[in-house]
Amino acid sequence: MEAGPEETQPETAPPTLPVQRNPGGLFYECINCGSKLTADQLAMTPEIKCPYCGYRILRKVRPPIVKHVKAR
Amino acid sequence: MDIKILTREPETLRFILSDASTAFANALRRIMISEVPIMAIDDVMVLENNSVMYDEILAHRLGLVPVTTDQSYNLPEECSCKSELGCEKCRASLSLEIEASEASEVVYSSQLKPENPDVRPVSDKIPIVKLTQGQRIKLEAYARLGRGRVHAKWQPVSAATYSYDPKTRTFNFLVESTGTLPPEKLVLQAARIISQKTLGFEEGLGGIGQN
Repeated sequence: MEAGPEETQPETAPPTLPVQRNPGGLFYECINCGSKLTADQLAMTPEIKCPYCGYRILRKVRPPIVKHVKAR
Repeated sequence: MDIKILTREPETLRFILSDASTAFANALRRIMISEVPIMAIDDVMVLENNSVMYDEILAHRLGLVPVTTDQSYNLPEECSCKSELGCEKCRASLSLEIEASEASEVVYSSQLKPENPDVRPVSDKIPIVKLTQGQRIKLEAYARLGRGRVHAKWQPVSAATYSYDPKTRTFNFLVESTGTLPPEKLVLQAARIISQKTLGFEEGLGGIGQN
């Protein structure tokens, strides 16, 4: 759950992380630079790594699925 | 049976019941608590939620928000649509879409937008969740009719009690509604349900005991 305003390009300024809305259903996001990746892109390198900034911590983006929850 | 109304406030009713049995008075009380159908949110379709509160906890809280009841709806089990999520005759929807624009914003029940103005939160001041900047929630909630005995969110009263005076043989009732239904309607519904149950039992006997 990141906090921060929405930006269209990732910038190098912490503490806010860029949030991109609806990038077309990509699955992972680099914690450092905020670039989006698919599972295939991650599989390209032997160790998982952001291809842009080399950071090794990624998070899984919430899938754009409607979740039905019972209010009980 | 004689009923004398003592006080009537928007959500609280006090009355005296005389010339009735304890069995009846107690049945009335129990039915008011567990069997009078009222509206409450039962299904939540979460489209977006990047808040700190899990979808399930958020949905649970939404279920507990008292919502005004429109008695023209069908009970889910009785509706002709026979569908899991219901149709427009057995559910009323409320939507919530909010993005916090600054740190520490509280989402209140007033922000639940009803599709049917007759099925809306009783109070606008109920806090639902706290959001910080950038956190977004977008959901669609379906309210259905239900009974208190299935889930406490469908309990129409916060209090339904009586005290008995053996000298005058009267029952002094207190009925406090949660606001979902006016207390008078609640009591009337309870009486009707007792009647329905008795008739149902007679039908179930299937003619045994006649002549």
